[in-house]
Amino acid sequence: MKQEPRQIQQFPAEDVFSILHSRPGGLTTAEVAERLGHVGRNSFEIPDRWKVYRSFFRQFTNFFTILLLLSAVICFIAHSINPGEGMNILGWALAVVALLNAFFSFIQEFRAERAMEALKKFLPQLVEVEREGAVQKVEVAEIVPGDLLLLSEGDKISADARIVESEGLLVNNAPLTGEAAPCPLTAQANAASLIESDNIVFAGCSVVRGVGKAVVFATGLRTEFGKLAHLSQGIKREISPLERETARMVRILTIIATVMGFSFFLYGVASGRSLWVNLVFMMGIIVANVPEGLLPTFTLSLAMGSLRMARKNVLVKSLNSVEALGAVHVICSDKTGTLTENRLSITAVIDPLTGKELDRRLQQELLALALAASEVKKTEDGFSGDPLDVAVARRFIELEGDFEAVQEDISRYFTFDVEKRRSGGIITRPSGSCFVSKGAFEALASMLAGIETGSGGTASGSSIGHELEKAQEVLHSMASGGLRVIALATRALGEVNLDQEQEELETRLTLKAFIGIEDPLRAEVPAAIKKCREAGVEVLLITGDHPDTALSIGRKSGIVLEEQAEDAVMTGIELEQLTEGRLRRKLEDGVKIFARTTPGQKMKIVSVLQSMNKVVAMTGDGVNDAPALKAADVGIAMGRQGTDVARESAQIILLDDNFASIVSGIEEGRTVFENIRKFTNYVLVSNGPEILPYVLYILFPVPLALNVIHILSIDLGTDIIPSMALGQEPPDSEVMNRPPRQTDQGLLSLRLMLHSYLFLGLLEGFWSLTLFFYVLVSGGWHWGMELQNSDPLYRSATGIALATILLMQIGNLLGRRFRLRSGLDRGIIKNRLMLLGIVIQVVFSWAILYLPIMQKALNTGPVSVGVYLLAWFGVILIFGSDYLRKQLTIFFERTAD
Amino acid sequence: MPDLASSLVSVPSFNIYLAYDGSINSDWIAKYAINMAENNGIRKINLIHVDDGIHSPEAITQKIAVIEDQAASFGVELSASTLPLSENVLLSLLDCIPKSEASLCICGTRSTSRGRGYLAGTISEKLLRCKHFNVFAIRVVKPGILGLPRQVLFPLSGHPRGVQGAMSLFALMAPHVKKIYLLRVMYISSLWFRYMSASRARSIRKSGTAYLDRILEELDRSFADTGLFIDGKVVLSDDWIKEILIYANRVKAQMIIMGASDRNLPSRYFYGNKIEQVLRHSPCDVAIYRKI
Repeated sequence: MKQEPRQIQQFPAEDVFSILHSRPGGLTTAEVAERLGHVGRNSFEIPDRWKVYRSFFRQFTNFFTILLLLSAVICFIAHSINPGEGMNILGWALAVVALLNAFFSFIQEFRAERAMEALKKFLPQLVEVEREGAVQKVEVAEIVPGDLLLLSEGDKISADARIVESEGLLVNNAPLTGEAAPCPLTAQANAASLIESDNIVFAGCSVVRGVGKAVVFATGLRTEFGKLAHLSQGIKREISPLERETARMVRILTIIATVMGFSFFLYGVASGRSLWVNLVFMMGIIVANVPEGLLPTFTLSLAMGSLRMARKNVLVKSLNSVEALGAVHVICSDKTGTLTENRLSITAVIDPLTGKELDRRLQQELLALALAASEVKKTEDGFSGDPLDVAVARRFIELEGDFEAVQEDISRYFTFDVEKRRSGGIITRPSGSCFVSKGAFEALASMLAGIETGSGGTASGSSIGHELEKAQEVLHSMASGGLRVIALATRALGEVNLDQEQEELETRLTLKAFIGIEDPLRAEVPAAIKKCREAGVEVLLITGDHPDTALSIGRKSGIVLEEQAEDAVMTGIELEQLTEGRLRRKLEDGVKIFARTTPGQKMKIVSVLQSMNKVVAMTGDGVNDAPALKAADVGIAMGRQGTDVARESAQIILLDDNFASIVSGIEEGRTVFENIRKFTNYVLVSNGPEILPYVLYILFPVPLALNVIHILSIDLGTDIIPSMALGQEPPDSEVMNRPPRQTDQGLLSLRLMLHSYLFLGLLEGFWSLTLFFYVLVSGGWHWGMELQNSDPLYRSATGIALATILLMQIGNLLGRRFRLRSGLDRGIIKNRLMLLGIVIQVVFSWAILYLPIMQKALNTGPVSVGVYLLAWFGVILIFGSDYLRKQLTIFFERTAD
Repeated sequence: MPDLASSLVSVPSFNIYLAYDGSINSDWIAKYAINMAENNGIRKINLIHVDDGIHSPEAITQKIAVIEDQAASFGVELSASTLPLSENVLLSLLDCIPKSEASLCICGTRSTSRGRGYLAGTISEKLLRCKHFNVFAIRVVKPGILGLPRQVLFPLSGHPRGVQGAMSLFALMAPHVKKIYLLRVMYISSLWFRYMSASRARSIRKSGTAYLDRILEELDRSFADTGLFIDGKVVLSDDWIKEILIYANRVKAQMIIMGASDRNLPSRYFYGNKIEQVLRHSPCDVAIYRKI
């Protein structure tokens, strides 16, 4: 492939104008207008005036919402045909539930737009450009390719542009590259790639120092920052496991409800019943099949889960992510601040020749010298200044050094120079005055004339070359141990001349020591990683750090084991050259650490992991992490060190930036899913006794045991609190000893449906109808006899049918607490909501039979105490039968083992 | 059916015609034409300008001279001809460009949409439809890449021939391209998408992956030893335009290359509309091609 210098950064500055069809005096107004028409405005937003409306109306395409609204319409029709039955109230109730569900989802979706608002802050409002030979201030959106930008200190850059003039330009590219150190820019041609070129300014970044001119070559979404913005805006998060499961469950239940409703409606029409009766009947079947309270209870349960997570420093922005975190298979974690403390600490002061640790006295003296090249101040809270300099001061104090005395000895400080990668200072010690240089070894090496460590090792003159090689080896060995290494060199000054330039002093230096610095691992991280391993959750470390540093942290934290260490690391360069297919194989082969990676590469890793059917959590803090945070199933932003853009793009914010908090969140998420399954099972059980009366009613000449209001009083009334109580059950001790569930492991399994409908549901239906017919028959009813709704006998019979279901739900509730344990072996009192739920069921079952106001509202009547006690027997019946099933399951499972 | 490798082994030899209207957009497209001609067996561009009176003859002469200089610096000969406007610009072009498999017309899409779309109703669209010669219609939104895309994205429609149709035209760009990305979007209706089970999604993805792997294998064979990076991705989506745009951004594609539709009228209308959306929102230059 050819390598001609044909990209914009590769041309000499003087050619840039003609290549971009511009000129040194800037574009003309006509040219600007023409180009504006061609490439559009310099804006990140994709104009879509219907977006909000579309988003709102999309919420109504949900099967469940459609069904609820349809039911409401039927109620209103029924009310207009036959007023006085209270069907309009029911209609409104259903409509309100549907609207609330839709509105809540809309708000959730709308909030996701905030990331874009945070990104917009990186662009200026007005930009200084040269057009038609004059300097003008124009709106940022009016910038076009070919425009000549005028850059000066403090400016936010409005478009991607090629520098044509530069006077000490220094820019901060952190929003784009994540690199905190400012980059010096020139106007010289460059052979590097566009993003690495030092003659390009990028939109969204800012000028730290200097002035310059640049010709725009990309605007709006076509800039590198625009691409970031588009990804942050456009990426649709994968549907969460719970959303998918809920949608599937709703689809199944909707289909069952609709098919049953219409079938029996047609049967009713064919059997000659009136349209009104058939309509009521169809609606009853549909309403009985749809667990109206389930979705609101899901939301409440997730909200309660999110509150519990917040107590563990995990702030949840999107409720679905509560459960999604529990379903996570892989956590892609940052290093700095998440696994480590984000606090630099000096852990070694090393002899550069022998590689041995120097004694404490010598360390103290060397750190005193290092302080001369450190800009650090003592404050009430400790020290302030560059983190590295603060680490030097802190270690000096730990070695019992007198910080104030050393400060008095410092006569001059040369600030850290980004380009030179070193700082300097002049200090007077008892041994005399000296100039001190502190910085990267590569930056000091060329100025070294000797090595003198104070522990006996010396070298100078002709042997320095060989000794420098030795020092290099020591340096490499320190770096491979995960340490960041700073070299310390000095030069004795016979006489201090404070007017001397730094360059004059930086000659004939003597290397004194290597200072090893690291960001220590958080104490709680190894235990959290171990917990992840036991829970079958894989942890990947993705960092911009050197592979040795990353591997060191990987080893210490337990992300990689000793025997797999070598193959477990991959660098960003290697990653860039891999196709997604090959990366998949590498991940399968056990790559756990990605070092020297760019934030853009995070997206690739997420994408491949997702193609492996894994649920991925990704941490991030920078502006450029936003796309990966959006692409991951669970985006986790750092609360302390994260940017606004990262926080707005994520679903979860870690308030303490601590990895261990993610693991606590996973435990909570798994518990939430288990609890959702429990209350789904609980709620579906009551569907059985709600459907059965309608089936009997249409097939046989018997009265209807439950009307629609009765069904809704269960689904949207008495079942809600017990469901929420199940949603609050504490984590099972085994929850983190199981692997994460598979993505296709459904909430609504066949087993759960059979258990709900055909076992417990049928049992509740059988007992409630038994008592219903017992009351009818003992009151004089006979087969085929029609009863008016207002007939006291009918009202008593429907009252006991409803009361029996309510009471039997108590037995069902207790049984749902554990899969195989009875449900009574953990104190019910500990779960106060459960106690409240039971009390509500009991009081309600009594009130509908004996409290006039409730009798009137629900069209029920009283029964004898004996019959009411028989309804109580239902609690024992359902609980006992289910307990027996559990015992049989335990027996068969043991036998199978 | 010729295989992919044979499309690439020999240096293509097209008679390249640049339809030039004198706008800044056509200046940018001229850069593409020069770069493509440089890799063509016949290193010559026939620049055709139909004098529709929008730009003054002096301005056109001046602009053509600049293009001529640029072409010459890459060893490409430029032969410019200004035609009088006959009935309309389209007919003038059709009269001038020979109907042949060896002719390649490089033209631009509409540069400013103003509610009419970028391709719909344009001369370029008519040239693409008339199937008289090969057509490469380009919308330039990032002139800074100077007509030399390094990363190219081919969205795959699932056609059994994959990207074979594009390859002889792509060969004109290939020497400068560093990375090719393929994207197969498995379209699922938005009504169904939300309710699809994980296992169903897996099975659809599997069929998409099998298709993609076949195309990737063919490309790998064809570009073996060239050092060209080829990768692809399968996405399940209810909005394939959005997926194309997102993937283009993700891989930092500098050009999206899409084939013009051969479908029947209703689906062409539907599909055409989708091409318009890509043209409208693309983060990079877009080329719509027809190989005859």
